[in-house]
Amino acid sequence: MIIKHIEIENFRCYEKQEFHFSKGANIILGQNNSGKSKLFDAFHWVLFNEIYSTEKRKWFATKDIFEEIPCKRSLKKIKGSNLKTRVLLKIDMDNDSGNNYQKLEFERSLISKKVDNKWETSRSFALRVSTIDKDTSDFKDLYDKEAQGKISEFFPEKLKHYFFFQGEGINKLMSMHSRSDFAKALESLSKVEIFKKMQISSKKVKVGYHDDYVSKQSHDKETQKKKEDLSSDIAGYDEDIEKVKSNLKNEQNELVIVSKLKEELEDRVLKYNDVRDVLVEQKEAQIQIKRKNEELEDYKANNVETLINDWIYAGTQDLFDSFINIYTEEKEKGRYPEPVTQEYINEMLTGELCLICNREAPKKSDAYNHIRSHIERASKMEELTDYISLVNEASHTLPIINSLKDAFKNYYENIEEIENDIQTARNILASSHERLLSILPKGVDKDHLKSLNFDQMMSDLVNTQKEESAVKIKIGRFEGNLERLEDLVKKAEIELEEISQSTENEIETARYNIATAVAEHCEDLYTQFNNQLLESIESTTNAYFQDMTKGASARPGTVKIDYLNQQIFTVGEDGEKMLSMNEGNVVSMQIAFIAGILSVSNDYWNDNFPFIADAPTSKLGGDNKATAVNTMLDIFNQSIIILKDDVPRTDDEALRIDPIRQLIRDNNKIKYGYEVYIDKDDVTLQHTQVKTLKDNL
Amino acid sequence: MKDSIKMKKIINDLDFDDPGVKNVIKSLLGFATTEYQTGLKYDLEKKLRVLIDKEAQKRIKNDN
Repeated sequence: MIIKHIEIENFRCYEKQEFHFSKGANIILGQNNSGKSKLFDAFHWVLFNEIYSTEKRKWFATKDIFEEIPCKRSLKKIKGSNLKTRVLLKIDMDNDSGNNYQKLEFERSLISKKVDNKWETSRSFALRVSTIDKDTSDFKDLYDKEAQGKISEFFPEKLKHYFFFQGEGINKLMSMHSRSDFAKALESLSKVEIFKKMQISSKKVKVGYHDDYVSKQSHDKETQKKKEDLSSDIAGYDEDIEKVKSNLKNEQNELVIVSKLKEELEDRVLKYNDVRDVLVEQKEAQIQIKRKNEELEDYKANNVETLINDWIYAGTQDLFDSFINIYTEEKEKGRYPEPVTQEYINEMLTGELCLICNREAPKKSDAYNHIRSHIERASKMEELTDYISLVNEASHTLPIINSLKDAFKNYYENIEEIENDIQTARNILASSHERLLSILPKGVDKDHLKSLNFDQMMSDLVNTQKEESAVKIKIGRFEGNLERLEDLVKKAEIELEEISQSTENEIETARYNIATAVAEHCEDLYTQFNNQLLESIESTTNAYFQDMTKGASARPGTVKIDYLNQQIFTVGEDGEKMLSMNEGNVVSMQIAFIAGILSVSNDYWNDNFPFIADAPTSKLGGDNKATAVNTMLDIFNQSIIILKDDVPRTDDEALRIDPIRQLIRDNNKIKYGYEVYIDKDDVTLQHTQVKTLKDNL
Repeated sequence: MKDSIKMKKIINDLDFDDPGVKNVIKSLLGFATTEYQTGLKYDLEKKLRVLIDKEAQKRIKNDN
């Protein structure tokens, strides 16, 4: 980047001035209290909101020193009640710079107001940054915080005291303690901050993962017991499963055997089922025949004698009827028939004939004895009683005699019916025999048939069926147990897997190992990068130093930067630290060091910072100063060097031979030269004026 | 001088016997550089955890 222009308005000792600059060297000369350091302030204020207090020898922010910012002469001269203090800085960007801008403008301003005839300056300021795009030439204004951010982007805060170099502060810049400008610059330089951040972050992450790792290990111990218990459970379940499987297999084999047996029995029963029915039918028929024959015999035996006894009265109905009628009539008339005489009885006995019923009564027959019994009963009453008894007998016998025909008919019908039943059974027996022959399985003869026990056969089948059912129930029970056990194993295995996953600390281990390796490498990176940076600064500083001290009278030595011991010094050819250096070599080393830092910084920022130096060679004079300045011209892409003018302005001869003025005149690298001075007519209200010494453009 | 101190060169010169770790550091460096260049704040720790976790998962997967 190239600072092209600065406009200063009502700033400190400047009423209104502008300076033009270009690439290469630009020199401003000024005697003490001429406003040259205020010019340096202008650069600093517009970019960093700071001004330098010469009295207190330190930088102050606007808010802390605001009353010193407005130009006192302007405040006195202005007729209005408002005064605007303003600094405008214009910059051109290099074509090969790492950003997209063609031009930049930075403007900072603040307002002073007259209140009750007294000026009051605002503690706050206005800031504007304008950018012009490299490709599109688009113009964009940024303000306040956004504008301040843009400034930081182009001018790293921690490097500002190196590219805005003040000779008075050189010792401070050479300091290397941990909070020094150099240490801060080193951080900001070359993105070493990136490695620092990586180093810090990686350490924190490593610690975090280490905590996770330790915590996980502790958790593992607690859950290990549960894991072992679950493994033991699973082993127990597996053992039970094997037992159940073995039992199940046995029962399944048993089922095969029993089922086969059952099928055989079913086939057998089915095979002889019809035969068995026929045989049963035959047996029943035989039983029926036997039973009916017995019934027939019994019936005959029970009825024949009665029928025969009754049959002897057959054809005597009328006699009995007459006898009963006579008796009935006599009885109705109140008379009884004459008693049977003894002679009449004897006559019947002699003739062995019952004269009453006209039946034969052979000797010793019941009828004869009956008739004879009347002889012994001589009394009339006895005869009457007998007589009545006879009537009753006759009355009883008469229906029997009358129904005798039906009784015989009924007898024969019953006989016939029983014989029919017997015949029916015989027919069944005959037909079933024929049927048996037709359905009898081949190879089965009657003898074999007789040996078959159908009941046993059925009993065997039923028992086998029961056995098969029992085996099936057992199988069902074992299958249920097996399913339950397998379910338990599955659940336990899932739980074990979950616990195993949660207890596996391989992810924590891997994370911790990687984090450890990353942290170690980040540490190496930071150290290595820092060391290389220091080496680069040292080698660059030394190169500049050697160049600057080529013609020096004193032995310059080699620059060494000992960052650990916070020292920068020179060593002789023997490698030992040089204990004394002349003034010129010290300044050269200082400038070479600043230049070395800026050079390395430019390298990393991919841009060329301008070098703006206020009195960098204040301790040198004459030719030494010119030599130092001449060297600076070679080092920086753009330098704006503000130098103390050692020559009185009124001494024309001295001005003519002044080495610095000669350098300005003769060196083509110097594009612009200015002289700042104070009008001596008004020393109380300093008013810097500017004289252009050289304007090569 | 320029080449000797370039960041990428330093990364490449570092003795990494673990390509996974090298990749993690390269990615982290990319993030940190972006943060530095853009001024946008990135949570480097969070990013690093993500990178490490990803690498760890990859390792475990490969081991298995």
